[in-house]
Amino acid sequence: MDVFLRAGRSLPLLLDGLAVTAAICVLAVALALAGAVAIVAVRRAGPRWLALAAACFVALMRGLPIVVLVFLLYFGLPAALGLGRVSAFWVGVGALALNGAAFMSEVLRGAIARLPAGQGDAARALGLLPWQVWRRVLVPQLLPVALPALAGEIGFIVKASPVLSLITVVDLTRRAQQVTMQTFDPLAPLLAAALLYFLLIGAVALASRWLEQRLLPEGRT
Amino acid sequence: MSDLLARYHGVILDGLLTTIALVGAGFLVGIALGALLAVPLSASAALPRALARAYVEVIRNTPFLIQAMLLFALFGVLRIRIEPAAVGAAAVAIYTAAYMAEILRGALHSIPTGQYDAARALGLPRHVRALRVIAPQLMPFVLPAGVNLLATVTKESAFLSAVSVAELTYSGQVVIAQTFRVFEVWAIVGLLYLALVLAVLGLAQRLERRLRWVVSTG
Repeated sequence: MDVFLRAGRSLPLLLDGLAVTAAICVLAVALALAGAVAIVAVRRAGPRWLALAAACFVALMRGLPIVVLVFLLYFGLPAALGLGRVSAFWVGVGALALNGAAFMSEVLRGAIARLPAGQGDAARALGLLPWQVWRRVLVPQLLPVALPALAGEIGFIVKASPVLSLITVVDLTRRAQQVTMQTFDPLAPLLAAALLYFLLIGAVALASRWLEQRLLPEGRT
Repeated sequence: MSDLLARYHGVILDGLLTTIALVGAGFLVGIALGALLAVPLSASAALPRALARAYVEVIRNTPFLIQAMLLFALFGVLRIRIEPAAVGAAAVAIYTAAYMAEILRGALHSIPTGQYDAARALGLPRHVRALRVIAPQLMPFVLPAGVNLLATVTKESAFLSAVSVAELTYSGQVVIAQTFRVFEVWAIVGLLYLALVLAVLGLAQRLERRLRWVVSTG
């Protein structure tokens, strides 16, 4: 009985944390996708120095742990620039987005490289404008190819999101710790948090599979 | 920055070595566990396969920080007192095993069944079939994926600073608490991780090139 009573009091806290974690992930994923497209565009068609800078950025993001990136941006940069307090939430979202953008840009580059040769040339020969070539011909072909890997990267963003709990953001991980302190139960709140993360990442995988089915050319007829 | 390094290089070096040691040990144990796990994962018996699959999915779909916190809490509940770095290495092993098992399952799946049949038809004993026929063919698949996993695990290990493991990120926090040189310390720590990860990835590229040569000429 006591167990259920405590669970009844703790669950709203955990669900509140889940909502914060979900918001963090939705914002970070949206920004990461936009960033990834920008990185790919710059590396394909930007000026040389910018393309090189983008390549360096991707290498940096691949080698830097997300924990250190977040500490660098939240503690280090404001100290170096003499800024006051910065928003932990937005710095955290930004760090996840920067990191995600780098990895997603590699996925997109890979998918573009695997497009059948001549698709772009053929579309141009038909007189399509550059944006039409991408919108009507190339993107519909590369999206189903890139989607599973992109979903994997989204999963990685969700799995990296507890890093925000290290800079005072009250997300699902931090809520689980709070409930542990209130209830003196070291295991149950963490297990509940683990389950909620599992469901969140599972939902991403399911959504990706559903979208993949819809995007495949056969599914459209 | 040079005065910082002159005074605190010992602390940072200790952290770096702890990171290398716990990731190295945890990764090696994780590979072994992953290989053991890959057997039921690709077997036809339903129950062992379901159990192995459940383990792999739970680990791959939950954050490493939560796993590490749970492991520390578990050791606390069971009143097992061992060094935090050892618990951290165990967390790395548990994590590595799940990903490694999945990599190996994919690799085993990619080998044509004719290879097994041919090896058996030649009358090769079981361990020779596994070690000299199947294992070499797994390598071109397993090696790049495994090295990527090692790079990922190295980066994830920074989360262990949050559960009081005195690794590289933790030693960065120690130095900052004494010097308040926030930006410089995180830049140094970041560069060390970067060097570590790039070294791992670079080694992989060289190994891969060698391997491709061996496979194509052997």
